[in-house]
Amino acid sequence: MGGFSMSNRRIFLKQSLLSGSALSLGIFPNELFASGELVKLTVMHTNDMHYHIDPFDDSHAEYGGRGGMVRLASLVSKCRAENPNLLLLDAGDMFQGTPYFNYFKGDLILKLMSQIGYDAGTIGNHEFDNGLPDILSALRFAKFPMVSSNYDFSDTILADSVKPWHILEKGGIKIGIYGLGIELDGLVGKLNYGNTQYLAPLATALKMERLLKKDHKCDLVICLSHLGYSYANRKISDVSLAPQTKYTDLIIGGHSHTFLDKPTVLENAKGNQILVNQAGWAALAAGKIEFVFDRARRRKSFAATVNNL
Amino acid sequence: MRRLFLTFSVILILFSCNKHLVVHEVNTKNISIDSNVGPPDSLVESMVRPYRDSIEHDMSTMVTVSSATLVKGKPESKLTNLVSDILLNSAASYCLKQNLRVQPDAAYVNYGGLRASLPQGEITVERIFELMPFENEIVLVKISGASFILMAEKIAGRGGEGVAGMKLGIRNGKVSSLIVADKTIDPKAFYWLVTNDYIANGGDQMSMFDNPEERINTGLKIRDVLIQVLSDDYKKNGIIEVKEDGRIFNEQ
Repeated sequence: MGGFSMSNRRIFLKQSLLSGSALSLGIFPNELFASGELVKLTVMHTNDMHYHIDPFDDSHAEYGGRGGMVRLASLVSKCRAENPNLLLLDAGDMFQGTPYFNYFKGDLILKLMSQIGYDAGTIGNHEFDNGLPDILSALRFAKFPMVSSNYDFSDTILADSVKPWHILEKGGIKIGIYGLGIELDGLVGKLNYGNTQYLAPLATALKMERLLKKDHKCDLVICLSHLGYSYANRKISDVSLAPQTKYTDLIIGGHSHTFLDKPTVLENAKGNQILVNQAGWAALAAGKIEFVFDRARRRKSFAATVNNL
Repeated sequence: MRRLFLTFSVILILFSCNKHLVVHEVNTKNISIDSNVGPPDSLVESMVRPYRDSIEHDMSTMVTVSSATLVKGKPESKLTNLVSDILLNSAASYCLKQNLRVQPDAAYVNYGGLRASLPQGEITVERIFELMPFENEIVLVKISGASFILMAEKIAGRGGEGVAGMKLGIRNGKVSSLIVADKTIDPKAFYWLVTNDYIANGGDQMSMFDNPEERINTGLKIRDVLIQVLSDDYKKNGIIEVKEDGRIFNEQ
């Protein structure tokens, strides 16, 4: 492993200072990973893929030749080869955006996401575009759970198909996932969401993170959010939610199609750091965050992150 | 040359760190998606291929030819005018065919519902899909003039959207004049408005349509209508030339 370049060093130092820690630089000894004292979890994520299976047409003014799930699949394979402890998540709005959706409804994208190896996803507003029956029918092809904590589907046909939270384990790390969707009223036609009850995102988040962290003792708590990155008004967003949480480590966002160079680091209600990330849309980007856990001391040491465009 | 994009890497210390050092190597390099990501995943690609092939033929079918690029804009634009006019005319012919004795007065197309521009020259089915990816259908609602004015205020507040069959003046984000069916709007009269089911169901904060006097769900998908009307028109009249006509205007 090489050292840092100067520019990296500066970024690193800045972040270290923000974290309030006095640090000098060093390198993870490989033997710590080998001996299993350190374990690395790679979290990769997408949002608002909007059925962009293929790269944008070369003639596209802004994104010609870029993006697309067929290439995302290659990227994920590569990263998974580097670290099998890889968690792949999506923050909603898989549906709507290319003719594939019009022809094949939600079926094809969920087949592909299952093939690429997604571990969990959440429900965005566009998932409702053809109503609840089409969500249900597409979910037959998902080999991973859909997690939504603040859309209460209990009085709908999706009651048994969407989970309020989900726990999984990678490399001995216990990860708890909950999902937050945007307010449907005014955004999605009432007929399309039927008896789905919309629960307040903040109260839901506080309940879920406590459940996952305290009751289920998860090492890492991740929120899949389709609330949007931030708003000029008081509408709840990832950035306004994060400081009010206590146990969430990472908010993976969507809806606002926000491209971030790196995750936004915020302080939660307990003064700990929480990451907020988002990866644009149309599989033009994937977020990649690496958490290293120190088994001996049972805590997270750091996160390294890359957003590939 | 294709644009290059930066890979940013940052190390963040989560939770307070003690003197113990835990640091990771960080990469920062310029990458392009080709060299970085490589070719499409072959397994996923082979899964997609039959689906792609089955729609490619349909997508490349030519619908019409436009004399100019059609871009949406405010207060009015060629694109919003074209789609709104097609909605109004199609709803009128639907009512005729169905013997409904309904004469639609005006049409409203939400600005956000038009998802792409149409190019100058050949317009294929694929372009229409990009413009109108949603499965929305044409809906008629009979609403009071008062509700109509509420809708016009929303349109004015947003600086203009897609309309047909009306002339709307905007001053400081408010309605300054509104003519429907060649007369100044009458709050007490009733009007037939053509829109899509998303709006008629209260989408885009259009709550004034919540309890219309009457409602007709045509079942006509807007995208299908656009493809049909534009290709029929091309066969009959050739290249389309869309105009702005001052249907929405800013008053000083």
